[in-house]
Amino acid sequence: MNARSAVFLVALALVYHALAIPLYRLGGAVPDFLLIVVVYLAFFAPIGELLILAVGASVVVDVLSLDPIGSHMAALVPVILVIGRVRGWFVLRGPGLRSVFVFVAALLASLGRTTYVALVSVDGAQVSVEALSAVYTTLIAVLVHGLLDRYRRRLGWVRDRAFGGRR
Amino acid sequence: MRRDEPSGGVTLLLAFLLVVPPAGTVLYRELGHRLVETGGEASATDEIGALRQECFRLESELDHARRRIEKLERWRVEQPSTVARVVRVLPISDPSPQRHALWVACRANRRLPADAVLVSERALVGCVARGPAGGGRPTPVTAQPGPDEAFALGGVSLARVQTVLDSEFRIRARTGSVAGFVKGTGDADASGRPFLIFDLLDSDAPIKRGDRIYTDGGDGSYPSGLLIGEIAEQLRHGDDPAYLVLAAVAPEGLREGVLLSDRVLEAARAVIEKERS
Repeated sequence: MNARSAVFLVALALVYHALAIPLYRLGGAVPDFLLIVVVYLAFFAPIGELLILAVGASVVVDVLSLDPIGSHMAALVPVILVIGRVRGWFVLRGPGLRSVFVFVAALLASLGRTTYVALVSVDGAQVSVEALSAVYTTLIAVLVHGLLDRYRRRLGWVRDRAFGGRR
Repeated sequence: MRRDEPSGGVTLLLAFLLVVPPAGTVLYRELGHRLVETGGEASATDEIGALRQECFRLESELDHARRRIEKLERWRVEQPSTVARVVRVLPISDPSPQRHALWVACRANRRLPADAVLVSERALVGCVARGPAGGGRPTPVTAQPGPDEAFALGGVSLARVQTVLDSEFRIRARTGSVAGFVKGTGDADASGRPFLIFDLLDSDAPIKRGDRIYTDGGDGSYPSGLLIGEIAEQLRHGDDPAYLVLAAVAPEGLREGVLLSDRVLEAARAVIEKERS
């Protein structure tokens, strides 16, 4: 995936995340659209460039959020690094496995953010709501990624080719 | 572009998925709002109809301005120690789970005060967040204009308001003779009215369901007597009782509010800023 498309997708996710979150709020939990896009991009885009993009995007989110600056960076960077490490051998064989992977990524992001917030501020977070947010993010990610996979198949792209050169 | 690089088509599909539902919602809201404002459909080619429509729009704007003046006059009479400003709520929400903030804006040459509360229909919506890391932390009230979350940008003053829906929201509150703290939970009922917790009470006087909770004003920065909500149920009994409070106003979907700030504190800050400049 080229850099311009990646930037466009991340910008779109940012705008959507800031404007449409009230439509998705459920008991304090909200899905993380930026994470959904970043996880998707992490499978295809170069990790170094994606890291720079994610750091920039997370700063924008932190400016909009009441959470301390750096908290979303602490959420996204570990996820990108982990996917960067495993995507070479992690062959996704179906939507079930993909959803489990996204759920783990959402939990990891949540853990990174809450740990950072706990370290730099007196504010705490309810673990149950964070877990609910991770599940919520996973459900929407499964939907979005599933549709994208289907679209990719229609175009004749084979998923494994995305990892070509690394396998 | 290489065949295995999912770029254009995938981008378009994701753009469609992400943009169409909210865009539809926003269009529906704006269109509905405009139809109400203009009184319905009107033929664009009919000049008389167009003029009538324009007349109706101007009358509507005049009515709106009169309502704003009434609102401000009422606050000036009832809360002479506060400065009231009608502000518009921007459609930007806090992206983090359990957190909730609103951005408010109004046309002003000076930045909005940091020690201010946002009210809607005489009920508390939230307080202007302070500090480099946002709200949730008590900040000493001083006349010094320190770092805060309110600023001016090209003739428009902006401020970020930590609402009662935020899980870290804290304010001193009172019901009858009982004073305590109201804390946010980050949760709300089906209509969007947030749940709050009223605890750390200074008295064991009885509190019953339906009792109204008001701001205490004892912190010296926020006005007293603003409605926060009403008691929904008792959560804890014994030496450290706690009550669940249902907030009076739903912060989501607000389009306008009144920002109240302390007149004396604001005057003191203006003097200091003038001396500095």
